[in-house]
Amino acid sequence: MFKFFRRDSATYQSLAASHLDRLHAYARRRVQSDADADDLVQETLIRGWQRFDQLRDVTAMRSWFYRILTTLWAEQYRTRRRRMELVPITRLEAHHDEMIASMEPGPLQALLARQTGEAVHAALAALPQDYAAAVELHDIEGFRYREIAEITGVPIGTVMSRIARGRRLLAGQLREWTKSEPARARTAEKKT
Amino acid sequence: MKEAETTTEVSIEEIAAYEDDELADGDRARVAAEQLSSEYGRKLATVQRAVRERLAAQPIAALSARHREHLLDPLSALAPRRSFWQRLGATRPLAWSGWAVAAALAIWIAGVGHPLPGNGEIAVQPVRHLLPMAEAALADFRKQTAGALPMARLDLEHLAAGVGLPIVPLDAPDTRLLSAWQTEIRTHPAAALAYQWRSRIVIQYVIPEQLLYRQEEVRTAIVQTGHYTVIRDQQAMVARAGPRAGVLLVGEAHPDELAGLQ
Repeated sequence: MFKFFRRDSATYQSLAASHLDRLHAYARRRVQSDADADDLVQETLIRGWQRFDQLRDVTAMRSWFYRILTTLWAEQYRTRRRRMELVPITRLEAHHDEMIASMEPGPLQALLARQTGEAVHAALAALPQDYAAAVELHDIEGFRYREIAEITGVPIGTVMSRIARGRRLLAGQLREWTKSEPARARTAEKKT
Repeated sequence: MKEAETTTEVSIEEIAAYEDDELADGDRARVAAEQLSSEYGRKLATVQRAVRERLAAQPIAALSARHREHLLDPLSALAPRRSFWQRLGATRPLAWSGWAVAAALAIWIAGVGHPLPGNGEIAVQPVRHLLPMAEAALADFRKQTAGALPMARLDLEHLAAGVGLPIVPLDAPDTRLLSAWQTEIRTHPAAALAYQWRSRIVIQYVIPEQLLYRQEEVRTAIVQTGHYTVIRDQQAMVARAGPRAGVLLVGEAHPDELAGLQ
């Protein structure tokens, strides 16, 4: 494992730059505005530089950045409610269970396949943050459970639960929206 | 009844972990035998897998070159980090006298309880990077003072209502309010009040508290010294707490002088 690396600002900047796209996308899903996401990423980079000496293994830098960002986010934004209208969890779970009861594999795949990136983003944004973050860190960012536990500072059992329940809620959310699509379309037609 | 019993025994957490290949071999075999043997368990696994695969395909937008540059901008001012041996080398032999002076000064400060004698100057920390809030305020100051100031509008009550923040204008000697207007700092509503102070222009930004206290180093500086100061080129910014709002004073002056304006 490569552990020895120069700890100068040029090395730091080039390493940080390679993580920028994903880090910013993750930050953007945590906060409400582009400016807040920019702030969060910039502060992550600054704090990372201040603690660059403590980074032992450059291959762990990606999860290290996510851990810093998650800590900053918790300090600064968590108390400000990102989601003004959180959907009731029980309602989404009911949609999920309804899906399970009547499910054939085809319709589920089709339902998920026709969701745009924006729709998936919106569905994630409607979930409680802890669930959404765990699901995103695993399914979008590709971290293992152990790494997510380190990033979010919770036991691995909690990560396991958040991922499973988060996906369940996401499926329920997408199903709810799909069911209400015809009604929304009719309303839109009447207005026009 | 049988299906209900099966349902209660199924653990969605274990099924998800199975699908994610996060279980030890023994647990994998057990989950496969106990949980995935029922139709309900297999359906749960299908949903977990389908959602994961859809999210894995979620596109990650590449940032524009300009956006990347903006995000990395604070790093451009980073001080070069010196190695331990460089730092050790720098302490010998001449620098030891510097340490002695610093130690004597620290003892003096501890005894007197005031940072510097005579002129009451405050220490200005060298700027390693500019926080987004400071960068925005300094940029706005440069923009506003480059041309004519915005049209005078001295109805501060109306302005305060517009930005939703209490505004307390400066009342220091030699200051004259020239104009006031509504603006934004980092997308947050803010009030800007421009003053003539002696022969210079000073702008007072009144910003939301959450923006002022967002950065740890600002919070720490305000708690410890009452204000946070930065200086870049000829311009300085002093950030401090106001009544239910934050105040940024920006001008072409030493931060000591700006901090003295109340």
